[in-house]
Formats: sequence, structure tokens, C-alpha cells
Amino acid sequence: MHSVIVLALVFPALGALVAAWLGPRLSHRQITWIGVGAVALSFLVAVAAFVRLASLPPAHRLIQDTLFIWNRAGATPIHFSLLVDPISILFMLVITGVGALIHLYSAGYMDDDEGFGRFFWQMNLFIVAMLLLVMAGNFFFLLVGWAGVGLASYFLIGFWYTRPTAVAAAKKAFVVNVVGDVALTLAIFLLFVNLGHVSYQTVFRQFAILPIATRDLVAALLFVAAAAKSAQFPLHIWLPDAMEGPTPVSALIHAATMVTAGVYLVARAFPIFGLAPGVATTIAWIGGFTALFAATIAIAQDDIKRVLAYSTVSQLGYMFMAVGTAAYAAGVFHFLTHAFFKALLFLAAGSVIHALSGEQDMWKMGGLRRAIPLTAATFLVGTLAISGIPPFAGFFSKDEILGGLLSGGQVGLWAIGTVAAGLTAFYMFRLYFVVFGGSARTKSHAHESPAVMTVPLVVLAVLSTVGGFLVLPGGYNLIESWLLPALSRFGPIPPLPPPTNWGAMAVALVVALAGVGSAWALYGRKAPAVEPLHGPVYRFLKGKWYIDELGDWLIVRPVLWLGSVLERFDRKALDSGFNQIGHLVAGWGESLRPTQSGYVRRYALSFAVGVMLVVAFLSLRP
Amino acid sequence: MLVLLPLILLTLGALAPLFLGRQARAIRLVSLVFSALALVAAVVGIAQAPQQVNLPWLPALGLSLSLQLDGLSMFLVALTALATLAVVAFSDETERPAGYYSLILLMAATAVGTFLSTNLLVFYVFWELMIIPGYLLIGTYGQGPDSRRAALKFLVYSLVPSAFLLVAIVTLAVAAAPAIGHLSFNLDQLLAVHLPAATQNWIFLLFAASFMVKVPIWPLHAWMPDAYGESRPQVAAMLSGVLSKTGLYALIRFAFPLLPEAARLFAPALAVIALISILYGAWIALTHRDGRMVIAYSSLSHLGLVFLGVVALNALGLDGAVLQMLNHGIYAVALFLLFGMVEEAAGTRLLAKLGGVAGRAALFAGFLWITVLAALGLPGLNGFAGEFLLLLGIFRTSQVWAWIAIAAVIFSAAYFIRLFQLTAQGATEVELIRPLRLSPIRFAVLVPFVVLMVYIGFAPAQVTSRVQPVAQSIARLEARAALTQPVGNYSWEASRQ
Repeated sequence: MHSVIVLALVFPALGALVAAWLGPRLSHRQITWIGVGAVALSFLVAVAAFVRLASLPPAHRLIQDTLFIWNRAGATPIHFSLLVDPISILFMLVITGVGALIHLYSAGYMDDDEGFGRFFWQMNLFIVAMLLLVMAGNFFFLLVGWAGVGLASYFLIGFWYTRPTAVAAAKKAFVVNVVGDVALTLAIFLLFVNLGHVSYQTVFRQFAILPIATRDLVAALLFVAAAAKSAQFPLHIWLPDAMEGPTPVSALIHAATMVTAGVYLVARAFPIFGLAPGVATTIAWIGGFTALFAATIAIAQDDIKRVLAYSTVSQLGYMFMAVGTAAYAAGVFHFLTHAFFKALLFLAAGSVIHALSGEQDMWKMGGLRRAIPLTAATFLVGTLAISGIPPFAGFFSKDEILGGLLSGGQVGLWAIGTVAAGLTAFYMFRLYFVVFGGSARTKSHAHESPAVMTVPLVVLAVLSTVGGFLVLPGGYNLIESWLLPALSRFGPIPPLPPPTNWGAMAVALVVALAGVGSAWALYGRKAPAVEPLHGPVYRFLKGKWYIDELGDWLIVRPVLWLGSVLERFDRKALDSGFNQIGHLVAGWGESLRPTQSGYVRRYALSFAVGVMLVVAFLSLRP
Repeated sequence: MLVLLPLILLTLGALAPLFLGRQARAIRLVSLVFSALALVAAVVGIAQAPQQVNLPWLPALGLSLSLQLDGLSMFLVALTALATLAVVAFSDETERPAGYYSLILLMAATAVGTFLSTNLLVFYVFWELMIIPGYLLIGTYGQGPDSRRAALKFLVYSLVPSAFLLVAIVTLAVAAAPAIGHLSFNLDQLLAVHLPAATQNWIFLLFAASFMVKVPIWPLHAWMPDAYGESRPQVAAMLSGVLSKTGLYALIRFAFPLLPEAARLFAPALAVIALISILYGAWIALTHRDGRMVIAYSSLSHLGLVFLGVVALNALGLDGAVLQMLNHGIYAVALFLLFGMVEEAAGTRLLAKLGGVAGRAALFAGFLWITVLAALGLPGLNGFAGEFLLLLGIFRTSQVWAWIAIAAVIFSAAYFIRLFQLTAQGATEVELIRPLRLSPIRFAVLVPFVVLMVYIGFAPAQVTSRVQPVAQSIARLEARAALTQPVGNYSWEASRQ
């Protein structure tokens, strides 16, 4: 078994290499086989690892494999090692399983694109990096995967690289993600310098010996990394723009997997957050704020993918509320159901966009439930699931989070989460009614997508329907019992989830139904031709709280301004300034050497002045 | 004698064109062959190192031809040969080809000489000789309208510090002579002598200033924009890839180990200068309109980080510094050469006028892309491995330095992505005067660059394990200095672990 888990990485890596190298000479069909096959094989490896883990006694569910020494930092070797345990295996199954479905779907969605081969190798590359992220056995290779998914995401956001908007969005995503990478790097440095090691096991075992300030700093840095990757306020700014990428990319990377890496990190490093309660609480509150904030923006967006993007940001906020309050199982559960229904929603949205030849403005759609019934039905399933209507998956996982918050005494967070749930039901049904209800707003010849696209939709719709049954109200909790042994391996055992909070569940259901009802009243019953909402609040929400503008004015512009100032300074002041001083000093020499070239003397003197400044500075050392 | 082989081959290669008159193709071929042979010799040297050669020359003056190939020098010698090979392969027809290729190989030979010498006077001779090809390549073979002025500036910025350097070297040897028993310029003997602090301090200042000019480090970089901008991209590649390393190398080999107390004393101040270099270069690279200048200022920033790693005065930082010198050489040479091809094909290097190259030349764009990724420190490629080790070493000495320096990583990502996007992607498609096609030779030369970017990224231990003994011995010297001289100015750093 030990050598087998690495195959999960090897298959997609080979797929990426072959598709990249031979891509131009292969047919679309061949590339599909390679691309989808590689991920499917990787999924089989994950399933085998899962079976293997399940067959082990709960306390020993751990597969570890050390492959080679990457480098020695002083005396400490940094190993390339893999670790598969109950936490990472769930992520692996989703990455490869949902990943394979999305790859399959892409074979239809991208069939007309001349970059077909490039698309598949970059998608496979993403799978490799994402698997490395969750399978890494130490913080260092976590970082490698962490940056790798950022790169793949960059590639795929900017897939249509002749579009200026796509290029700009890709760059924005990359830079914001690098902020997270840097935070993670600093956290690793702190761990390394203080504990002499970066492997999970050693770090978690010894973390308690660190002083409180260091613990908080490590936890805070890890959270900044998580927030950048998982689009938490205010580092969420890149995710909505990332919708410039092809829709399957949005489904896989910017909904189901990569953006949940932050949730994975917090769940993985829970012994660290358990020992930094202040940071954990902050995480929960930022998660809560993000959940509500993004939901309010989603209400006022017109682009079908942007609505889904903000809903992703919002749902990630729920996961952070859970993991921030040590409800790791609930957070991971919501990751799981969200992966199903959000991938479904994006792929169904992609099917709509595909049917309408690229149209993304929902106010140019309408009546599509008749033209593309299968897409409409699956989208409805996804909408019901995310809105928290039983028996669909989102109901159970969201309730697990909200009920836990209320029972745990986090009334404020619970209230925020519940309001956001109502908003979620509202904006999702607004989207459904406008796109699929009423009648067509513009002429189109919408056609249902081919089977290669609809089959993944149906599979995901089924999963979004039954996925919630892993945890049922009343104490039946497969996720919890699966994760608990892994969670209790290091240090303190996280608190058991409280028994089902029926009150919270009832309130959540009523609020969700109220959201659906208001969406029906506004958009379903009359099927308006244009957005009926208006006013300053609406404009504020449509403007996304103007966070982008704020960031532009506060950060981007000053940075660029200073850059150009320095450039001018470097070209003029520093150079000629030194020369000027040289001139003054050189004045006396003018009469002595009238024939000599002025340049040499000036440079010599300007240089001497420079050296003198340096020497003077060094002598005035701090 | 294997130590001498790359030096001999490059020198022969520098002489050979002079016998071939105007046969441009033959000259280029001969230069290619000699630099390839030098590369082979250097790679064999890595396998055979450490090695030493000691030939007495003028014993009365303490002069001997002492050459040493160890963890510190072997990768830089190989880098020089590789860079030379690439620069020759990427050079086009030129007027007076004999002179051009001869000077390129001469520059390489003198750089190898500085990397190998462990006698300070011999080192100084190579160091001085290196200025000649630099001056002529920038001036007579320059490209820009102001190339002569730029060359003159380079000359002055080289000669003035050289004068200081000579004074410092002689003073050092004279001061150490009583302890050794005779005048000696040999590093081994000088290392054993402990000089009084006051003497150390001002010798160190002269050393540091002269070496920092070559890197360059802010604010001694004023020659750099002109020299990199007015010369051909191939020469800029040589200056940034190889010449800059001689300055850093000399700091690590001579200045810090010979004058450890002074190094410790000045380290915090030098760190401030390094941090300014890092941020200053990064900031300018972020907005510069000229693509080649983006690469030039990125070098100022990245080499500032290497310098900071040296100043951190611990084995990790030194180890990372040597690794990153090699890495920077690899990606900077590739960047200058690849972007140079774009410049020549498009007839401009203003980023606003470029764009869309990826659609025209996918293979070329692929090479440019992986080089950019290596340069911006993507994990899995070589730049990251060096950066990680460097920052870890810096972090160990001062968390504050590391926090500031790491900002450069974010800048790096931003300006390199910008450089790539504005060159290769986007809606504007540049008018190409000539096609961007990689000839088989250029392709063959680029392959080892890419292989090294990936290989070192995955197995940096191959480099660092060879550097470590040297890094540790230097770090030990610095640590001993810390014991003999409890310096007050380090107390502000109580937070370090």
C-alpha cells in the first residue's frame, strides 16, 4: 500500500505531461481519454486508499510514505512525504471524483475550443497540485501544492489569454494568492525556527510548548493563507473575477476544490488553532461576516456566474464559521455537500451558457426550463440543495453548522448565518426564476447539451440529493465518526458536536422558505423583464460594496505611484544628483585639467560621493 | 589540473577568434565549441571537487597561483561556462565578430579566474582584467545611442573601487605579515590571522564597497541601468548572470571570513542597505515600461536578497545565497536572452507595444513562461528552493528582516507576471519584423536551462549538500567573532531565536 498512494499523483502528472507534449498531434477524443482517464485512475487509487483506511482500526487509520529528501536546512532534512488519513482522503475523493466528472463534462464543453489540449493538461496539472496539497505529509509540501494550485488556477483563469479581462483577472488571482503563499511561508519559518521541524506530526505534538504570542502568530499567518485561498473577506476580491475562466474551471477550482483548501488547512492544523483560541474566534467571525457580506452582493448581480461566485464566497464563510468554532466535522461535511451542489450549479450554468452560445447575463435569458429541461431540473436540484430545503444535501450540512453555533452559545454567529441562509435562498431562486422561469427575454435557439455534459450533471444532482444523508438529525453522524479518530490523534480532542438543535433547524427552514417565497413574489410570479429592485442600497450591493475600488485606491494606486516615482528618482535624481555633487566638488579641478573629458571626472566623483555616503551610513550604524 | 581546465579552455576560446579573421560563422562555431568544452570540464570538476592547485610564482612577494575548486566556486564556474555557451548561441551576426566573441569568452575566463583564485593578488588581477571586456562590450559593441557613455560609466564605477580594493588588499597583507612571518596574499594563511578590530573595520568597508558595486547593491547601482540598457541583451545577460556573481562571491569568499568581527559590526547596517535594494528594485520593476529594465531591476532586488542572506551570517543563509546565485544566473541569463529575442524580433522593448507573442510562437512562449515562473519563485522550480533557504536563514537571524524581505516575493510575482503577460499575452499583437523562431542550436542550449530549473527545484540538496561544508565553516568564523566581540548593536534583536 505504501507505494500505491503516490500513484494518485502520478496518473494526472503523466496525463498532464502527455497532453502537453503530444497535445497538438492528438485528436480531441484521444485527449479526452488521457485527461479524463488520468483523473479517473487517480480516483480509483483514492477509493483503494479509502477502503484500506476503513479496514484499519480507527486509531491506526493513517498511510504514510516518505519518498526522498528534498533538501537539508542545516541538519534538518525536509522530506517529500505523503500522508493519507481520514481528513485528507475525503478531500482526495472529492478532488478526483468530482474532478473526473468535471473533466468528462469539459470534453463536451470545450470541444469547439482550439485550446482543447492545453485545457486538459492544465486541468490535470491542477489535480496534481491539489492532491499534493491535501496529501502532503508536512507543511513544506503543503506549501508546494498550495502554490501549485495557485499557478494552475492562474493558467485556467487566463485560459482565453487574448481577452484583456481574463488576463487581468488571472494576474489579480495570482497576486492575491501569493499573499497567502507568503503568509504560509512565514508560518512555516516560525515553526521551523522554533520547533526545528515542519512535519505535521512533530509540529502538532510540540506546538503546545511555544509561547502564546508565537502560537497566535502562527495561527494568524495560517489563517491569512487560508483566507487568501478560500476567498475570505477582504481577500475575496480575486474569486468573482476568476469567473473569466471557462465554466468547468469555475466548477472544479473556484467552487468544489481549490477554494476549500483553506478549510482543509484549518481542519488539518486544528491542534494549532485549538491552542490559539483568539485566532480561532476571529476566523469564525470573519467567516460569518463573509457569509453575510457575499450573500448581500449575490442578490444584486446579473451575471449568472458571478451570482454563483459570490454564493461560493458566502458558503466558504459558513465552513469557516464551523472550523473556527472547532466544529471540524461540520465544516468538512459542508465542504463535501458544497462540492456536489456547487459543482452541479456551475456545470448546469455552463450548460445554459453553452446552450446560449456564451450568454451570461441572466436578464437576457428566461423560459429555459422548456428549452433545456434536463439542465433546468438539475439546476433546480442544486438550488434546492444550496438553499437548505430538505431533503437535499445542503439542508443537513448547513443545519449541522447553524445548530452547532446556537447550541455552542454563539448566538451572534448563528443569527448571521441564519440571515445569510435566507438571503441565499432568495438570490438562488431569483437566479432560477429569471433564467428558467417565465418566457425568453431575447431570441435564442437554445439546445440541450450533449450526453457527455448531462451525465455528470445527473450524477452530481443525485449526489446533491442524497449526499446529506451521511449525517441525519438525531445523532446519526458518519462524518463525525469517520473523522474523530484522526482528529484526536494529535493533542486535544475537539468537542463532540452537540445533539441536533431542532429549534435552529426549524428557524433555518422557515427563513429559507421565506427567501424562496420572496424570490417567487419578486421574480417568479410576474417574470419581470428587467430587475425590479433599485435605489441606493441596491446600487451599493451591485457595486460589491466598492471593495475593489477601495483596494484600488488604497493599495494598487499608491504602490504603482511610488513605483513610478522611484523610477524617475532612479533615472534622474540619484544619477544626476550624484553627478551634481560631483560637479560642485570638481569645480576646483576645472582649471587644472581643462582638456579631460568631463564624463570620467563626473562619474568618478559621483561614484566617490556614493561610496562616501555608504561609508558614512555604515559608520553611523544603528 | 582539472581545476584549471575551464579557465584554460575559455582563455583559448578567447584567443582563437583572433586567428580566424572575418569568418563569422567559423568564429561563432569555435566559440561555441570552447564554451561547451569548458562547461563539460566544469561539470566534471563538480564531480571531482574539492580540488586545489598551488603553483609558486613570486614567493618573495607572497605571490602564488593558488586556485581552489570547492562548494563555493564549482557551481559558479559551471554557471559561467553555461551562460557563455548560451550567450554565444544567442548572438547574431555582428560587425567585427572576432572581437565580440573573443571578448565574451575573455569576460568568462576572467570571471572564472576570480571564482577560482584564493590568492588575493591573483584574484585582484582577474578582477581588473574583467573590466576590459566589460567596457568594450558595452561601448564598442553597444546597441543604444548612449552606449559609449554607459561604457565609460561602467569603467569608472569599476576602476575607482578597484583602486580602493588594491589598497585594502595590500593593507590587509601588510597588517597580517608579522603574524604569518612574511608577506602573503594567500587566503588560507590570512584566515589564520586575527586582525585588530580597528584595522578590520576600514579594510572591510573598502572590500564591501568595491564588491557591492559589482553586484550591484543600492545605492551603488547607478551604472547598472545604463550598462544593462545600452548594451546588447546578450551582454546584459553576461553582466547580470555572471559578473554580478563575482561581487557576491568575493564578499562570501574574502570580505566576510577574513574580517569576521567587522562583518558582524556592520551586518545590521548592511542589512538595511540590502533591504532597500530589495524593495527599491522590486518597486521600480513593478512599473517600468521597458521590459529589459524590468529584468534588470528584478536582478537588483533578487541579488539584494542574496546579499541579505550573506549578511544574515549563518550557514543557512550562506547556503541559500550560493544556491540562489546559481539559480539567479540560470534564470536571469535565460530571461535576458529570451526577452532579447523578442526585442530583436519586435524592434522595441517597450512593454506597451509588445503583446500576443504566445499566439505566434508557442514553443518560445513556453520557454519564456517557465523561466518567468522559475524567476518569480514558484515552488517546484529552482528560484523557490534558493529563496526559501535564504529567507529561512534571514528569518533565523532577524524576523524583522525576513518580514520585510518577503514582501519582495509578492512584488516578484506581480512584475514577472506583468512582464510575461504584456509580452506574450493580451489583445495587442505586436508586429514582428522577423519571426520568433528558435534555431536548433538555441533550442538545444535552452533545454539544459529548463532541465536545471526543474531539477534544482526538485533536488536542491544536490547543490546545497556540496555548499554546506563551506557555508558552515564561514558561519563558524562569524560565530567565533560573535564570541570574541560581544557587539552591543545586536541586542535590539533579542527576539531572534
